[in-house]
Amino acid sequence: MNARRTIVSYLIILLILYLLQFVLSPYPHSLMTRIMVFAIYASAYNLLLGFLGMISLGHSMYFGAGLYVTGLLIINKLVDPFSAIIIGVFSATLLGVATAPILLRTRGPMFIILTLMTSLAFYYAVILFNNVTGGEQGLVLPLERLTLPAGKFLIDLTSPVARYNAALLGLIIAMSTSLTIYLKKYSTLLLAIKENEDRTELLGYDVYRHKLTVFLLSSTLSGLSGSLYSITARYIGASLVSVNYSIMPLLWALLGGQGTVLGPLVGTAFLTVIIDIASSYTSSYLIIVGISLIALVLTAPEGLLGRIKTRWLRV
Amino acid sequence: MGTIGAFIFGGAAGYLAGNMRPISETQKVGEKSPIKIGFQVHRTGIGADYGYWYERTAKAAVSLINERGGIDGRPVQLIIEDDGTDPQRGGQVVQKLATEHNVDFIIGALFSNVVLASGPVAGELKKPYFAVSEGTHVPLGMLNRWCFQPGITDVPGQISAVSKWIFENLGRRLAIIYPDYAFGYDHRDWLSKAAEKEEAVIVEKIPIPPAETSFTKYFSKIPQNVDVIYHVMVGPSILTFMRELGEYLGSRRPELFGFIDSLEGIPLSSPGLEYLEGTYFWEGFPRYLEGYDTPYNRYYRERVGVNEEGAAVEDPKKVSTFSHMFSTWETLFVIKEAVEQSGYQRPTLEDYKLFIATLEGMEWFNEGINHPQGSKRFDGKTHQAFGQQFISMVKNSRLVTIHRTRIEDSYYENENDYTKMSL
Amino acid sequence: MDPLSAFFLGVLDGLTEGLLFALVAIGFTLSYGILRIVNLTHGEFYMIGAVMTWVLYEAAKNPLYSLIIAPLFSAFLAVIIERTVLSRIKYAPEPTIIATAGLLYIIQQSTLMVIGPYSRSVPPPLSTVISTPWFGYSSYKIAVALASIMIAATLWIFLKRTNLGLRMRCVQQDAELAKNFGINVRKIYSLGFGLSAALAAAAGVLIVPIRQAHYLMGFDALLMSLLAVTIGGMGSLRGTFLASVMIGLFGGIVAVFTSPTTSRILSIMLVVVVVIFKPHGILECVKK
Repeated sequence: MNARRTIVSYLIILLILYLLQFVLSPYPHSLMTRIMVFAIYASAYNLLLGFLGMISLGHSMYFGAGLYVTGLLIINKLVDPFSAIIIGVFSATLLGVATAPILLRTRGPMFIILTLMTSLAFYYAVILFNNVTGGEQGLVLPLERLTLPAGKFLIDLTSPVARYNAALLGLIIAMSTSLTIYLKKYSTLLLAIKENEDRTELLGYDVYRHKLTVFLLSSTLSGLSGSLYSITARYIGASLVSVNYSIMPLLWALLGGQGTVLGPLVGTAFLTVIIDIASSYTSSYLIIVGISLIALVLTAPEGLLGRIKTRWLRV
Repeated sequence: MGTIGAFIFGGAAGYLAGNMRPISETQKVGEKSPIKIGFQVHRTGIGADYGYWYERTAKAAVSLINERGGIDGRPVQLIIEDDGTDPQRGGQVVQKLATEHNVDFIIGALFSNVVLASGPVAGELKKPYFAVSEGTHVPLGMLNRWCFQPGITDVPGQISAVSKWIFENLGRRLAIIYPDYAFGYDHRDWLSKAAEKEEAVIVEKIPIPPAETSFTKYFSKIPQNVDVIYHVMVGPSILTFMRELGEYLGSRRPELFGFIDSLEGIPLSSPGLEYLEGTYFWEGFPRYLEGYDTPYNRYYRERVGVNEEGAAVEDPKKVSTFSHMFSTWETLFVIKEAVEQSGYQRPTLEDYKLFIATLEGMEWFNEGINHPQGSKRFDGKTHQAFGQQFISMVKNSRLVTIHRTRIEDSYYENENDYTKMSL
Repeated sequence: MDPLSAFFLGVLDGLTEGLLFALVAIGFTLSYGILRIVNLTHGEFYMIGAVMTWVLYEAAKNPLYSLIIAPLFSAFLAVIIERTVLSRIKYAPEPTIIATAGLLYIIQQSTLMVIGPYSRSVPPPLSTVISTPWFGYSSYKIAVALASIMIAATLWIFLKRTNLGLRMRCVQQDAELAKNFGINVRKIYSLGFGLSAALAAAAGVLIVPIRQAHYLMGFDALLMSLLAVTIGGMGSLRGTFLASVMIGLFGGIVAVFTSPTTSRILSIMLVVVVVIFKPHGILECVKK
């Protein structure tokens, strides 16, 4: 049945991702790690966008929560990396809980703008408390703190292997979440909310609770992406929580095809690679990005993956 | 299977495309292989005005070096990547230059946030990274033993050198206006330190958030009874800042001391800047030739294509970032000197250890065409260079250099010692 | 400066800034009202207005032409965008966001490549300073504030009194219904979008002598617009205008008493608070 085919193709993709690390040369390898870390963010973002149709322009603050909490815990030598990640992710959840009552009251354009506002406030707060956060310049995560004891062994979190697999693990968690929602037909309920919230409410469903659930999942996973970024890039800085990093996951998710499980990964990979190629050949890679976006929107508005309307992964 | 196929194909195509190398890289038999120097440039983003001039100056240096036989007889090949003045891309670009282009050395960035995201990556990949910033990231130990800043002086050094002059000549009660990020904090903190030592006092500190576009409302914080307003605003809105400051202060103003960072790339004749007459600026390298007229300065300008007023020869409206761009030139020559002295051959750990040991042992870079800004004293432990600083006054919409500090004036206490780190 | 003078300066400056950005904001709200789109490219039209002013000044030394040429050029560009891109994607919300984001990058970077990364300035046509006992204030800034009010008023009259304005308002209320009444909705969409771009560009023209022209300046204008429409109500011209002034005023006053970064945060918090209590904007139910 559809579910089985979906799971199988999903597992195959994961296997390919796992095996890729053995064939990629060093730069594509490290690039893939970055792509996967951001794909987690895009997947998280896609939970809100694809399933509920809510466009947020403020997710950088959840990404930022994971980024800063994990990063600062490690920099200040407070806990080991593993705990730092857990705490970082949890703090993103907390931030989601704190902001949900304000944000989830609104819909449509108001939601867009309000999320933008709150993430801007977060950005300025990071700058305000720069003696802790490093502000715009940022802070470096020290090498010595990035080893994980595991029994008799020491996992070196700065090795390319560890980073790749940490990112892959995070991506698996993120995509599995999407997949689970999709397979458990929860997505159908969410679709109903997306199509007509009031009607669904009238039918007796606790719409707010469902929106909250997805919203918290989304913010938590965004935090996971931020935590992993701080460790794999060994850098935290205000530029990573600027509006730009709220717009990017939107573009990644939309490019790949919102509402599909693999879409975010495809979109992130596509855009990152395009930028990377373009920056070697032109003096302004952002123009190439802009043109790609326009081209995409005109020819494949459902996104790259959405366009390939398959029977395997659909929404 | 369609989706998977498409994905694999797309991915493979993408990576292959990214992996393509220009044919010229293949060696011809009998010729010496080129020395590849990766260059991380702010071609776009808010650092783009500096990026343009950095690129231009670096290319001029490379062309001169190659004309004279290259480095150790090997031609220099500059491989340039745009980092968009974005830290995330900065780290990625270093990875690309090191592992994809397999460069021998990397010349890094100006903006400290990009440097901070790039230095650690260079350290992990064991690739020497030369910052061309003024930041404290290298000297104060935020990075690692693979990071150097031999081509430009840092803010603490600059402030140590000029602050005494300010206190003695302009006054001992100051207000400082600075951008609310690292560059600004460096100024705030180091000026405070200097003030303490010299019994001067900073009466008010006014931080301005990044990307602010209008400043008048902040000026009311400037106290009435200060001798000097010390300002170091940078960014696209500097012109607005300078103009609004002038409007606000009117004719009854205290002394003004700024850093030329606020006016790099901007003609002094720009409308609204008339009030700057009689105010002072720190310059890293005087924009006007007459501020430091040496045959080296002249030749340097000729090669880069900058006239006596510090603007592009092909377009006098295009003012250069003269106080900063020399860093790329001098850094390239430092690399040349260190390669030739150490016997560095190829990008292996052994050769790099030799290279770094040699570089850390260097103490003086003498003034000359290699170092037109002036002699530099290099501290092998902190990986930072020290040089002379210039103080200029605005007269008839030109900058007239009135003071040149000694190199020793810029020394400051620093416990950092990279040589203790293993490579 | 004593607190009272500082306060006056804050009020005056905040008011001027708010009035100027009000023009950009009502342009934004117009395109939302008529086309129902969130246009991320809006700030770039503002930037184009500013940059063109500099270009024309360099060429002809008379900035007044730019007040006519720049908005016309922006409107023209906007109409092209609307015809080729926006109508093709049928103004659907998500594709529009991608498209306008893509256009943002294209316009921004094209400007970088053509004009360069430097900040450029233009001397103000009025350089007298109005001196009060407490501080000097540029008369040009006052002129700009007045100009902004005049332009907004002209727009208001246009929409209320002219035939074309009437048709625009019809489309804003209900595009389907307007079509049934024989109104050429496609044409109104184009004109509306063009008009919104022209407003942004006009603001850009006016502001160059006060600030400067730089290829990245559009983003700030977009942000101000978003702030204003959030408080003022999407699609509400009066609300947006008022909100923009309020935000400017608030920002100006707060900045006097706190650190600049704090005042930014507070301005944002203000918006959030307003939204909590008045989710549809301060002038709810006012459909203009």
